[in-house]
Amino acid sequence: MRKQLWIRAGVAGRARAGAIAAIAGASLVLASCDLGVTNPALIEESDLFVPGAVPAIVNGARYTFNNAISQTGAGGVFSVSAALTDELTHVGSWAPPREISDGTPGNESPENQSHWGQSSRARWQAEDAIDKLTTILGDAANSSEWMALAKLYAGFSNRLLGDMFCEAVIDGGELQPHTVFFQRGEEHLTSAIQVAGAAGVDSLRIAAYAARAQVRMMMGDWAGAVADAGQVPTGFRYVQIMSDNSGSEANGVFEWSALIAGQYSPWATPFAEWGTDLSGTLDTEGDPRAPFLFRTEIGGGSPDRPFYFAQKYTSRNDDIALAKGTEMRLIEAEALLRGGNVGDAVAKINEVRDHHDLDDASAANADEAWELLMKERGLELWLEGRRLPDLRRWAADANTRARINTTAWRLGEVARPVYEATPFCLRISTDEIFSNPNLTNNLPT
Amino acid sequence: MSLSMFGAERLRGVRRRWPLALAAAMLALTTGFQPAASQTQTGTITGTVTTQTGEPVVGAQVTVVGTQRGTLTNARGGFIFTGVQAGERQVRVTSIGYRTETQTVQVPAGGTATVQFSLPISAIALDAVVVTGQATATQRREIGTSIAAIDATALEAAPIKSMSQLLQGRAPGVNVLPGGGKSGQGTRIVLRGAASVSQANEPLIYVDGVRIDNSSPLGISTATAGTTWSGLDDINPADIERVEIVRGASAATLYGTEAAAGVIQIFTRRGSEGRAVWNYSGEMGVLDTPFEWWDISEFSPWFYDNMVQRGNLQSHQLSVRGGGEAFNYYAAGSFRDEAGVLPANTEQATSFRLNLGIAPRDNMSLRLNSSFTQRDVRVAPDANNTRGYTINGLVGGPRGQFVETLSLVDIRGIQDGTRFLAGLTLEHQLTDILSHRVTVGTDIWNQDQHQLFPFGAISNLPEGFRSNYRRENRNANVDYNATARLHLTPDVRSTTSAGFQYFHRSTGWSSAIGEDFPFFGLETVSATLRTSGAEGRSEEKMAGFYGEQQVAFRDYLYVTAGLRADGHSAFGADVDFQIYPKVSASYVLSDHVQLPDFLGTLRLRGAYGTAGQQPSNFAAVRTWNTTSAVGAQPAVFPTNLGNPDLRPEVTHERELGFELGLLEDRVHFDVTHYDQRTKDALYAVREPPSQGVLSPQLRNVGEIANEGWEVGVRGLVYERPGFRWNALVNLSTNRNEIISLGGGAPIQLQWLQWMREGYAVGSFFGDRPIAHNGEVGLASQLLCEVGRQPGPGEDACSVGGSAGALPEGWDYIGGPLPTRTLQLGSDFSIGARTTVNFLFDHRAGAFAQSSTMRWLMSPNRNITEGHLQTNRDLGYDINTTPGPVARVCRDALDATNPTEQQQIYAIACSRNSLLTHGDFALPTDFWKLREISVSYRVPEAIPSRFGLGSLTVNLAGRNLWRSTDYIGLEPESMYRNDLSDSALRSQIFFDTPIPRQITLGVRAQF
Repeated sequence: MRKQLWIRAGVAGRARAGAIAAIAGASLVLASCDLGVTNPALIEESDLFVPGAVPAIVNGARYTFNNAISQTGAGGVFSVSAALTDELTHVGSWAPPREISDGTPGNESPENQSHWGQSSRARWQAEDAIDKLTTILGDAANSSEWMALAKLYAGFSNRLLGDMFCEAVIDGGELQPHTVFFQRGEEHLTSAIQVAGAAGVDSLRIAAYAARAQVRMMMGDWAGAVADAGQVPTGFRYVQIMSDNSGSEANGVFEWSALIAGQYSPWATPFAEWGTDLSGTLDTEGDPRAPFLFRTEIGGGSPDRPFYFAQKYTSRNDDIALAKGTEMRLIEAEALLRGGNVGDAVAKINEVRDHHDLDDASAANADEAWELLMKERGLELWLEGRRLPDLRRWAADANTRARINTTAWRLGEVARPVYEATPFCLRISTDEIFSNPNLTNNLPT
Repeated sequence: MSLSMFGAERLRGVRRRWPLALAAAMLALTTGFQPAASQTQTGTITGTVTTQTGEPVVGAQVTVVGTQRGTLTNARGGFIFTGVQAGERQVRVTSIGYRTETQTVQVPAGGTATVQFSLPISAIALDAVVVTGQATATQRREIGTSIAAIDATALEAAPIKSMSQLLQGRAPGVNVLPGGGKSGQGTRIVLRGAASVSQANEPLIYVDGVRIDNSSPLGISTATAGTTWSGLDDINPADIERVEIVRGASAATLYGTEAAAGVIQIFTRRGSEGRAVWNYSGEMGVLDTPFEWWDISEFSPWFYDNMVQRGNLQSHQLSVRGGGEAFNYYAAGSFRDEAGVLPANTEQATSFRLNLGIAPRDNMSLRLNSSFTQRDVRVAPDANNTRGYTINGLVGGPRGQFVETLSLVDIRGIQDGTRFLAGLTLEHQLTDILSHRVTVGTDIWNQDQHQLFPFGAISNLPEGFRSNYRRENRNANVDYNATARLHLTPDVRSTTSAGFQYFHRSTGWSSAIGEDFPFFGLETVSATLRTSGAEGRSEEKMAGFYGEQQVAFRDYLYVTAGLRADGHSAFGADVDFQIYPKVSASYVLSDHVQLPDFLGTLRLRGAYGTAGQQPSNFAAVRTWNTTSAVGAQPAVFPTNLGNPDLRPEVTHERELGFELGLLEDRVHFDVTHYDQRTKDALYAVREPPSQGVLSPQLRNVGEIANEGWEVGVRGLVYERPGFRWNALVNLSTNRNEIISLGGGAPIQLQWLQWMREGYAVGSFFGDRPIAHNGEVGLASQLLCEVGRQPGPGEDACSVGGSAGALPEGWDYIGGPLPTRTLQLGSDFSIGARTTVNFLFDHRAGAFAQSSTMRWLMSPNRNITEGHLQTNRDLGYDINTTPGPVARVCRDALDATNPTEQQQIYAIACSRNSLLTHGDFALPTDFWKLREISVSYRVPEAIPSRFGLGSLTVNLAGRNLWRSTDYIGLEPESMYRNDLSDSALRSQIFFDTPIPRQITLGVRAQF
């Protein structure tokens, strides 16, 4: 018994020593363990504050802007706003854009959430680019072409939000009227005009004038809008560059309205009557600014909704105009019309038609001139994200509200009263509502 | 240095290969690797193992206690050990369903000792050794937690062709969630309930101590045509010896930071002492689906006649095992070929395994386990695929919903995977007291997925499309454990263990996409006119150290406490390490006090433990990503806000239970109650989108509760000479609830699925038609309390122009995971040669969004006369009439005396537009006859004529019968099984029904 105990104690001692050694060794190893890892695909924010990053930062703002207007959420806000206003009809099988096409814009589905999210990100990234460039470039920022471009996109993205959304929320703040986006956009564009001028980049300077004219028109500042429009030649176009280089650079409006099994069709819209059926099947008014293809053998997601192929954009490489001289002439025409000058207003409209080698139009009185203007803006700016703000401001103005129905309507089973029932704006997403404590007691529409 | 070094230098680390070197050094120093001393005075032990009624026990484990010697009994129950050191030796026999027996024999030098075992039946296996969840191999009686064990060798007759099927319905609380019924389609596994709202709720999986990658990479996604890959199914089930399942945190503590969802440990077969024993098993069979399972649409008859086929399968496995005194081996090769029930859906699987065991000394063993698997799956287009067979054919008929003639649809989706798995385990009994073990393992998994839409084959991509996605994942892990066992007093025994674990994962993937072939016949990305490519690489590291102390009082009371400290590369910069404690107790009451005669074994157990779930890699860092923009110019955009305080979520679990044997332990009750709280739950907090970063940021803010019961009853129901009936009942319940989102807003998982406080994770919410107080109508109308003002968080409502309020929760529909599961099974032994087994499987309480029925029941899914005429003009025999596509709509709208349910369907069928998703969050309860088999062992005289030792013929069926009120195709399927949180994304989208399977097989031993 004594021997056994001795052996047990001796072995136990060795066991304890071994265990302690093992524990100590393991602890030592763990303590010296380096758990750092690499991921070559990601960039830390601090890495961006170098001059070489400036183009990528500003191009990032242009990238997110394209995501907002034509890519995410069933073709971006340009596509879904087209479905809301009568530029296109939803004929596909996807539910979220159907909600919008039916005149009841939702804000819960992931697709419809993304409209607010992507548009907000476009604004934030353009304004963040301004901040970053200010830090990186110092005084040189005031005459930097890249800074002018960042400010132009800050203006465009604020204009986009003001055009499209029912209300405004900025940087997690409180609910505000949508017009604050226009005020904010106007400031950025005024600054863009100065910086582009200092940088000697006329194309950006003129684009900023054109964008500011759009913003001022939406704010009801017709004098300011006309003054800015006057800086822009009729043939000027500033475009969002589209490319087939990658999916996120492509023209999403084309993808969603012109590819087989797309979601949107000009069918049942006034544009199918005004435009040109390139197949020659339908008897239309033949305006070349709204071309489409009628193909009976192709149905949409709903068997009884024909899928006409919109042909304004015929490839993913087709750029989308953000501001055009022709719209400036129509702004001038509308200002004249609002002043009661029917003749000069029609002349301005005909400047646009002349630009496209179209026959002159005429209007015998103010009613006809308004109808002409509304139709011309529709055709000239078809699928460029301009119809929704147009209908919105016309519906909000007692003088023009009743005139909308002459140019905005739907046919057949998808008919719906346009100006009475449609809110003419997209809703702030529930993501924003649920995550922003400043909205708790003041919910958006 | 200290543990505070964990987490330092997040992004740019220096690789060090210390764990392997250190573990090897520690073992080399202590083992010395001397060859075994020559054994000159040896003898032989031989014997047989039978039941108490005299029938041989086949495959029982026989070991010589205190040595590395072990073998399995043969078809006659016999075994033999040669070269056993002469003297007094103990021989132990273990077999599932029988009591472990040990006998002492005197081995004469140069002679033979014979021993006979007659095993008493015992449904309780307290002496069975469990490896998972403890620092070292431990008898079940000593463990205070519930660990499920599956003896795969007892399932040879069961209709099992994959590991997923081996686990399905086998243990309470183990939910195997299949993606659908296509061949090659994988599964997700959830143990108990959802412990996380943001991270994968899937368990860690180890094979012979090597951690495998079971993620579901998005190559050809299920959103287009893909099939979820289940890494688990790369393991050949025929090679499996047993599986241990740790279902909760209390038993998973020693696995640390990634184990909160549980651990599954798979042990493959080993060699055994004796001559080479060859085994061949082969089976051939059919897969099919009855028309009733497809009968949801007016086009179902056409679809069934023209698109649904009878599949077939065959498999062959050849293995050999054997060994000598210090060496054993198991080698196997298998091949399986399967064609599914839809056209162009096939799976071929080939696997090889070599397991070697070496015992250089009596106190040392070395095991090498290795396997190679190749699986090639050709995917049939179904599910949410605009050119899928099911969605087109069942919604639109022969010409499809998009006027695509289905017979011409030609989408080729190929998913090939190869996996090499190797592990080396060295165990050394250093002294009588001290032992240690190291396992070094690697899992290398390559995938090659490619998809081809040939030129002219698909109308929405008329010029064709080609994609290729390749991914390689390499896991490496090193586990070291040292254990000291000693008697503190004659009654008190101590087991002290300590160890460390290191894990490294590196993943790289690349993809190439091409669009538009210039002409017919081309098939590669480089042959297209427009190409793009992408590449990604990431890695993660984890290191943990643990200690465990067990104190045993006599052989009936055991108390265990343990602690693990982990560092992980995904922790925030301000988080150094995470501590996980555990404590448990096991009290074998029946070994302590005299219980009434009707009671047999009674064991009480209780445990508390924690385990973690780490955040995704780089979630802690504020990052931007690169892209090309506006015509291939460089651009950056924000991706992640970053959170330096990010730490793993920690699941705390309390578990109480008992095991009770009745009727002399012939019936075994195993009852467990668990109560889990996941604290610091990682919650993807949505920042206001107006702040610019759209991806939610992980924060440790939430709390989730899981509570439930697991009851297992198994045992001998009836026995008489020549007949035995064993039965099992597995019951589990789960109540899942989000206790807190830390003040955060509800978050949308998808569509109707939300994370809301007070409800199960991922619950469905929405308005829908219901029956209430004898009325049928919309919930928003019937539940509206007219005249009451809405309270905080309540919705306003209006009925007939009168304002009111809807009560909180009016729109709650149900949760996505089952709240109850039940399995009923039996096996019958008839005579000495025939066995019959069956297993019924029941699931209840889970809801799924049925996009299948949303599409079919939508009011605009009406068949027109023109549509029918078009099909007739093309020669299709469509024997239907204009009206709704969905059968339930036709039945409900045509019924003269509609039932309450038909009235509900009638509303759903008439509701305006596709938007009413709430109408289609449907219960998925079902009963299935999961397995049934008949097995007959041919009299030995017959196989012996052909040189065979034994021959068994087996007829088996799987999923032969189902009962469900679900009105779609398949209540079990989940089409988005490719997503990390897919266990919660309960959505069904024209997934193929899981087919019936009937096989005829033979097993021969020679």
